[in-house]
Amino acid sequence: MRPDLGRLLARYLLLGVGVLLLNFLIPRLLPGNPLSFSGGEGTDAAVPLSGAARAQLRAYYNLDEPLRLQFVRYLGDLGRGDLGWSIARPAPVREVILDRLPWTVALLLAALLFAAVVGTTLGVVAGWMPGGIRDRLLVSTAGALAAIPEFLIAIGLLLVFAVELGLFPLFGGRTVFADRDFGATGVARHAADVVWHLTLPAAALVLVNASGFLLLARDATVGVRHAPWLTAARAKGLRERDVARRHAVPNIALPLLTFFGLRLGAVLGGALVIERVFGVPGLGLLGYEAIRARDYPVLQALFLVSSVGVLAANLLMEIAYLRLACHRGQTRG
Amino acid sequence: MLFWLGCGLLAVFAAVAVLAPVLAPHNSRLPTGRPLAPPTRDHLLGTNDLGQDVLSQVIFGARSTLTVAGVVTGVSTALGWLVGLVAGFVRWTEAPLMAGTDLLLALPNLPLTLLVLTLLGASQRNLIAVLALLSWPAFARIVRGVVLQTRSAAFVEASRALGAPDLHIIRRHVLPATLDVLPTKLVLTVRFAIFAEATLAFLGVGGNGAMGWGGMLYWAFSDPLLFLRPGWPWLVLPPTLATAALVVATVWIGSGLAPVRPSAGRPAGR
Amino acid sequence: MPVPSLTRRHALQGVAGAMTALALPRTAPVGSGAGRAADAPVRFAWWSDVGTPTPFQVSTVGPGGAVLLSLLYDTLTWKDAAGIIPWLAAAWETSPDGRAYTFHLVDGATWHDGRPLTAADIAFSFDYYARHPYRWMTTEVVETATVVGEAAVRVALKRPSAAFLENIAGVVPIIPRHVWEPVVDPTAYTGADRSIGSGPFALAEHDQTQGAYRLLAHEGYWRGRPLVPEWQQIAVPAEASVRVVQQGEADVSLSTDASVRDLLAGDPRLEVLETAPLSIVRLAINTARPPLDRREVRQAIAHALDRGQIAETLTRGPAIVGSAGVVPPETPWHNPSLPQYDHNPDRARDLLGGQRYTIDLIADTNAREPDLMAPMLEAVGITLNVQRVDPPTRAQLLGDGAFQLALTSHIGVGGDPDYLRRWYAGEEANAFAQGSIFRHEKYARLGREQEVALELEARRALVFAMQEILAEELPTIVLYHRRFSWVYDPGAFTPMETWGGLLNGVPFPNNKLALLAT
Repeated sequence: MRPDLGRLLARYLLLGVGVLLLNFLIPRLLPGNPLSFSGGEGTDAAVPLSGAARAQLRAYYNLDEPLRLQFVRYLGDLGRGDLGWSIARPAPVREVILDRLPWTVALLLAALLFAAVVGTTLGVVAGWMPGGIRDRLLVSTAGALAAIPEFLIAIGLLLVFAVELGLFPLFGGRTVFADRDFGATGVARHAADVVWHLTLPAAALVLVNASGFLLLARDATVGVRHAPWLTAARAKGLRERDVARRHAVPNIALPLLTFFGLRLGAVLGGALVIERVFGVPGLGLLGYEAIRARDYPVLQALFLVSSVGVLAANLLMEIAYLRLACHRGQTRG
Repeated sequence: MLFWLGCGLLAVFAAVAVLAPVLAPHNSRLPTGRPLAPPTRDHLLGTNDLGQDVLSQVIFGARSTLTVAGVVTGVSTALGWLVGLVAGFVRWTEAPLMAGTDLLLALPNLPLTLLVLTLLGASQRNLIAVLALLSWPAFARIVRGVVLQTRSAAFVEASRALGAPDLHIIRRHVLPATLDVLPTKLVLTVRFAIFAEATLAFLGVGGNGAMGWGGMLYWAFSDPLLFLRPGWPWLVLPPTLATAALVVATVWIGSGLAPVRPSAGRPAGR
Repeated sequence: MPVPSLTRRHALQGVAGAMTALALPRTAPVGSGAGRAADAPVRFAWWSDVGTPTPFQVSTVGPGGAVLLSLLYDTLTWKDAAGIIPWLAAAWETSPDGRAYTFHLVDGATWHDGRPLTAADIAFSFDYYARHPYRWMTTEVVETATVVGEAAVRVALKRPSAAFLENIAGVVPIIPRHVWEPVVDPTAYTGADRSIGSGPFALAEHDQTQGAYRLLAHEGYWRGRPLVPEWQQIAVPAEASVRVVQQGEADVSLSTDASVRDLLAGDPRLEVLETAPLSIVRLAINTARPPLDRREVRQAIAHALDRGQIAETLTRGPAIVGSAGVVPPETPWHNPSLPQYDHNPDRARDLLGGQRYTIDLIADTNAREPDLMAPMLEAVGITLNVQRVDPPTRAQLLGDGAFQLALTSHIGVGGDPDYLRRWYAGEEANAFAQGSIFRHEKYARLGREQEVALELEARRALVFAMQEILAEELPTIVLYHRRFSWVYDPGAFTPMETWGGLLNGVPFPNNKLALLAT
């Protein structure tokens, strides 16, 4: 166990360094260095580069110095938490990102967890009686959902529930300038407002991701249904429901966990579409706007944040995987 | 049998794409009717905001979508397979190659694609290149996993039976085993490519003259009054259903090629 | 036997979710007409964030920022539905040679922080702008500004400027000396007092993540308390721009699609105001690069395009085809006796002499015109190579002169015709109007002459002559003009059309006069 964990950590440490290096190189490799574009006008809050802004960028990137020295400075800045100054809006990048990070995290984690729970449960239901009517219905629904691109599902939800039925807001993360009293009722109302705004985007994410969990759980359940230890449990007189819940589900946890980690990574990059459709002011929308405004410091910081986030998530998954695998005495495939 | 249904459907799409100039009732790039007209005998699916025939656009759109999906899948499968094989067989390459794939897997897909296409220009060639680049790493990992698995089994078997490892036996066992995971990969990558093309077109980087199904949706949704117009389903549903049908066809084909199996290392949908 | 408890749980969750959604307070329509609360804010929907609302940090991509500033800041003169009116300058005199204006400050003007606005502030503003330009309008022609007497400022110009009263005195915001004097770099200034102005509204909040601005009425405003206690400008994605007004999430919003009037005909609560067609869609031509350096080719393009059809298809309303002299029809400076280029493919082919050409066109990613233009040009032997780019790339290509044809659309052609000179003198600040290339000695000379021509008829003759040159040489081909259709709730907001458009030709309905009692 211990050497495995050690090797795992070493591997991820190496990956982390790789991510930093890649992140450092990207703006210096792509066509047009950060200072070359004239004006930097974009469609959102664009401010052309004044002399002072150029000087700031130059100071941040140190493009005149030898590459090695630039990298050292880059690491130093990171260590201090200095992510540079955003071109598109006069504010430090760190502030811009911290403003929007909570939205993405709240939306993604909540939606993904919900998708995992719902998908897995339905998948177990389907897999318990393969070929049965429940199974066929669930699998075809999951299949149909998986055949529609994410942005269409999002627009569909928006159309039906916000436009036609008017049950949810058309865009945004919260009602702007809503009452800002900070007493207990104010906070509760504020939280309810946020939930109301994020319901549709979260629902879209759930619909997109649940089918993956469903199919995986179903396959795994089909596989373990007739395992000997389950027969033993049945022989003990346990109801099917309890057999499923207490014995089968924990054993399909391993592949599900891996899948969750992988989906987290995929979703971190894909939240852009959902945030764009619903106007949620998270990191995805920030990235979209930053690309359009050629806001290199923001882009760099975003890539770093999301790559590190994915690595961290994967590391946690793999550690949990190791623990569970040890417990169950199973070996990795 | 779903498999045959899928093949048939794919064949229909391919035929439509190849025979587009013959099948399409109108030139899809010319305004041939009144804009935003409902379906008539002349325009079976109506016209779009410029007066271009929707049906013709769906037919010609098949070309762009199938091309992108086909090439991306082909390139990324070949590349991933090769890298996975090398990593599995040649000991000293395993660590660096797998580290490379891990790194690529950690990068956020869509923002990266968006950025590269915005900077390098959104041509179909660039699109294919970026999508292929992003989808091969996951497959490489799986292939490597399979290679390691079957290799150890074959080794054990061979060393027991012959006392010496036989490269030929390895090739006979390992390679076919890698082909087992191919169908899933094909299905997932086709789906990934189709979705990526549509999503990027929707985000506005679909490539010049974006007339694929994603492009049709982009133009439809860029009209702020779309849902106020009575005929909006005719603008939205044909490309949506075409996309969904193509994906379902590939899924059916995939389900026919490989029985569904519980697998721990399933790729995240690429 | 299978697990019914799971499905029951799901049903309960579904019901709980639905109940929560229904029970939550919605931004229900704030109430229109009779049901509207007295202190309800007026919410103006625009398509993007407009940057930090100071003259030095506001976005010049589109007019949303400049118009927002007009609510926060005052100018020396202003415009109502009929023409130029006094504003911060209660009266003014012009020197006989037209090179100096003396403005007399109105009584009682104060800044949002309570301090009085004095002549020193006005003099300081022009002085500061000389060193740190205002991003929406250049003040290059101003030489000095000095305080004279108690409450008057004398502005001396480098040369007479016919456009000065409308374009500069009526556009450039007066800024407080006590805030900006110590600031060395206004583009990076983050002080809390940076948006202090003297206008009818003061900035209360700027939600950067959602591009929303909250303005509160300035109680001590020198023209009297605004009728509207709170004004909000919110960034709304284009797809939702009309829906937000329908569903009561906003009170005023813009549609460039004329069919909105018919589509909303059934809605009893909303109305649509169509402004004069001050928005222009045109082809900027790089006359320095072959084959477009030849006038015949440019004229051929004009004849090849059926601009009426393009206009009708894209505006979904009656076509307002552009004039070859650029100044739009239906405006005071339009020259009606110019050669126009009708849709005539035969004539186009003649002009091209049977030669085939391939020409690059740069357009925005959401522009529809290229798809209509390509077949029309193909029919006369010109293959159009369309490159769709996003705004930064476009700005760079235009700035580097690395283009042949560029499709652009913007406002600013309804006001003073000095823009005819500014475009080709490289002085245009509006990002979409930049990048025009045309070197013609006589035209440049006429441009300089009309700028200093103070006598109306003389100036008119010069401007007409400029239009004749434009119509002959065609350095830009105007495709069509659009009206802006403003969808609004009349119970919340009363729109107003301004003579020649707000500021320098911006067809917005929220002239601050409409928000004031007097």
